[in-house]
Amino acid sequence: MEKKNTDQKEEKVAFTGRISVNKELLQGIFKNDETLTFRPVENPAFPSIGFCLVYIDGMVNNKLVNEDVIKPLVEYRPRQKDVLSLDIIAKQVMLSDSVERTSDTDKILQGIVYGDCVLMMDGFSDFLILNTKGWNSRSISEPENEKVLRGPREGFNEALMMNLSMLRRKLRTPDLKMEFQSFGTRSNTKACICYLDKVVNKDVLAELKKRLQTFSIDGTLDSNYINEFIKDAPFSPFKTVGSTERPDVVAAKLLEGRIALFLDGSPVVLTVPFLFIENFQSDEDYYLNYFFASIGRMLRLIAFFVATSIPAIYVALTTFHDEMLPLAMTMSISEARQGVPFPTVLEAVLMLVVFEMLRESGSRMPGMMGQALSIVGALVIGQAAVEAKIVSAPMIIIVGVTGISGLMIPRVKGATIILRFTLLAMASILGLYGYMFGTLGLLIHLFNLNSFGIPIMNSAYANTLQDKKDIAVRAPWWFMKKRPKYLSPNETREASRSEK
Amino acid sequence: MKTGKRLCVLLLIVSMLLLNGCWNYQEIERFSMVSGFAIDRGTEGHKYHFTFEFLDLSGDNPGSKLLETEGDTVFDGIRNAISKSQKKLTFSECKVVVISKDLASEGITPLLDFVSRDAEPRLTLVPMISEEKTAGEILQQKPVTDHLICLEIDQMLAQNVASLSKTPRTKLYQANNMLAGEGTSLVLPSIKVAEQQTATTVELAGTAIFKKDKLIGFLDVDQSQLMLFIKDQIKGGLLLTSPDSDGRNITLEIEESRTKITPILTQNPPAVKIDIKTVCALGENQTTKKHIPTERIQEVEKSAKSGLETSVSNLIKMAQKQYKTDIFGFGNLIYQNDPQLWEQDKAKWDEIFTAMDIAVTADIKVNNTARVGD
Repeated sequence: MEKKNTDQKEEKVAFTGRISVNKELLQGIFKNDETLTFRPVENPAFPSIGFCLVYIDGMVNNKLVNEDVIKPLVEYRPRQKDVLSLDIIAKQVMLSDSVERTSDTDKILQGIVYGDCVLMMDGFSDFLILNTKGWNSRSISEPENEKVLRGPREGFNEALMMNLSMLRRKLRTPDLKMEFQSFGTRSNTKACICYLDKVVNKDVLAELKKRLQTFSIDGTLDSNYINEFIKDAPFSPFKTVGSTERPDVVAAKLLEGRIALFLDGSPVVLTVPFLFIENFQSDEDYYLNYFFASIGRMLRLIAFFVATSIPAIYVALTTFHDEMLPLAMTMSISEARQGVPFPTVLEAVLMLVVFEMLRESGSRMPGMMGQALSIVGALVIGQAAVEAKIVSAPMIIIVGVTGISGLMIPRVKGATIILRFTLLAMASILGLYGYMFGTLGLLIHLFNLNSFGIPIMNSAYANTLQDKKDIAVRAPWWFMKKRPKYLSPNETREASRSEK
Repeated sequence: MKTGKRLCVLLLIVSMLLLNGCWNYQEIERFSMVSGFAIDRGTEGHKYHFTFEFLDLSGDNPGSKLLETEGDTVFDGIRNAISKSQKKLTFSECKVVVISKDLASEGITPLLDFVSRDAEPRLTLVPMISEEKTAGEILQQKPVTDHLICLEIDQMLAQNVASLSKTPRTKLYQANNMLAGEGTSLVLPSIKVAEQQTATTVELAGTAIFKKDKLIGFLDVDQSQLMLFIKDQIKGGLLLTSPDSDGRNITLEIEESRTKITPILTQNPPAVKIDIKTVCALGENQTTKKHIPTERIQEVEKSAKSGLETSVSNLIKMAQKQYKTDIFGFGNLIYQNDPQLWEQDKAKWDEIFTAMDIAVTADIKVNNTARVGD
């Protein structure tokens, strides 16, 4: 740790007023980096004064450099011939939208590597940093894994400023605050904390800022790097920090009093605090008719139960409590299991692992192979395995139902899989008794979890109708009079019907 | 805090639902699911002979197989089955226990102990008495609609209660209550083999009646219906009545029936007043009078009322004279109303029962005349 720090601050160079010296200094810093470009410029009116532009090829917009920097510099003709200072250049000559005069080495180096143009002038030891950033970024498109049928279709891309502009377009108020910070001792990735000043819970904001100071890492390539550092319970499979790629979702969360953390280079924006129920909320819920949206929400909640518990309950019922099954069901299960060599638990584990493999291969393989996967999945593993008496048909149904329900709730995917196997193991040791132990443990864990000081199960404490409005049932917009509990000191949302 | 408490209560309730049952891991296909069994007198030196019917899943369709064993106790006989079958018999789906009449006349309590005590058989199974020579031959009959004869018998009983009400469906726990409780003699459903043109099958035969735990006789299906009227267990069924002297019948379908029994404790011996209130629909009319005005309905009601009153009184008289056992539970009524009086009468209740004065009144109302009106 110590060593790295000294490594970073090794060469605190002092620039001088001579271009040739400065150039050598910069060349020394950017040794072996051939993208660093020096472009000497002279103004015919002042042939004695040399200028030199420094930038990194590929990071700057060449057109901007030509039109806004080189051209005015070369064509500048002062009325009085005597003086030409850096100040005049900055204020009267440069056409660039942002011109900063500085002698701070760190700032200058940052500017160069981030696509700015640095203008050196003979006789001045401080430089001008000109905004000429211009690199290609992906165009705005709908995020692949957060598609909606109805609602805005734009999604974040990898450019921070573009992302912020998308958010700003949704919330046009000076109340929207954006604070910059950078992470990664080597990557120097820019990040931005966004919140609505009058709505945000100040304690949560302070807690977030505090946690952001507590770690250091060399590079942050995706917002998950930060997520894992600031998470409340690092070993819990449950999320306490939300993430989304959609500007409308971020705007909605900000309106509810949450805070968003943008990271340059990642389309995924973090939001805190993150409540458990947010795992089951989809932005589309709010764009569709609330009856229909509520059905979807309830299905997702049921899917969580099914995806975590059905294999465990099936194993418990068939191997411990067969008397609890109706006779007809006992008959058909028992018949289907005739000749199956493995015990029910092993059968369940096998099939669940196979399903997870299919799912994982589906999300990792190149797109062209989808057909092969579905044939292998459906025919070989489903039908043939049953006919060959390696697994029983009811188990295929159980695994199928479990798998499909798991896919309905992608945000708790990891936790669902872990829970599923844990509960299965407990049910196979102690039957429903073990299953109950498992779920009790789960509940205790969930009720203990906080996200930045807010209990993630806060909707479970709901007592009034207002607190329940966005759990299993998505209430109509005119009923959403308050923000979620504890999230905001300013609880009243401005939604109301005009009363005449 | 309040929510926490509520949650605790909820969790307790949920766990009560989930935490009953056995806990040892056993694969479901390793069992032979017994649907019912019959107990007869043993032949080869053992006290009892058992016939188990169990679910056979070895073929393409589920079927039934019989296994016969001997043993000195019920448990003994069940365990002895292991030496004849690779799979262990399991009794969680056991629906009926058929007991032969000669074993039943020696006392039924020892036979029911195992099924009441063991964890596997449910307390809702139905003990039955075979009217044939042995109980085993009941299980040897071919079911008509189901795969297993015992499941068929169980369904027949359930259906009988709902729409015929001619056989009591005494479940094991009810039988135990009658045996251990005060002032009600045990009644169990009885079953026999019915001859049909091409094959034989089983038929519910009515009621087996007990004194203490010993079988002393049977009631046929019609008498059983009257008994169920008194015991207020009529859920449906038919009432036939002939209002005219030519003997042609009108069939009334029972929609609802309530019986209220009031003990009159001031008399000695105590008397009982029985009020039967029945609501019927006129379901079939074979009489010559096709036209049914209100007066005719009143006529029908009246004839059905007097018919029911007479036959119920006759049945009670028969129970008092012939069997001398209180199958209707009048003693229990006395016990509930006047425990002290019951303490005095308990010992000689059977004699008191035979001398009891019992008044029966019926009130039959015909609600509608179905599709063919007026």
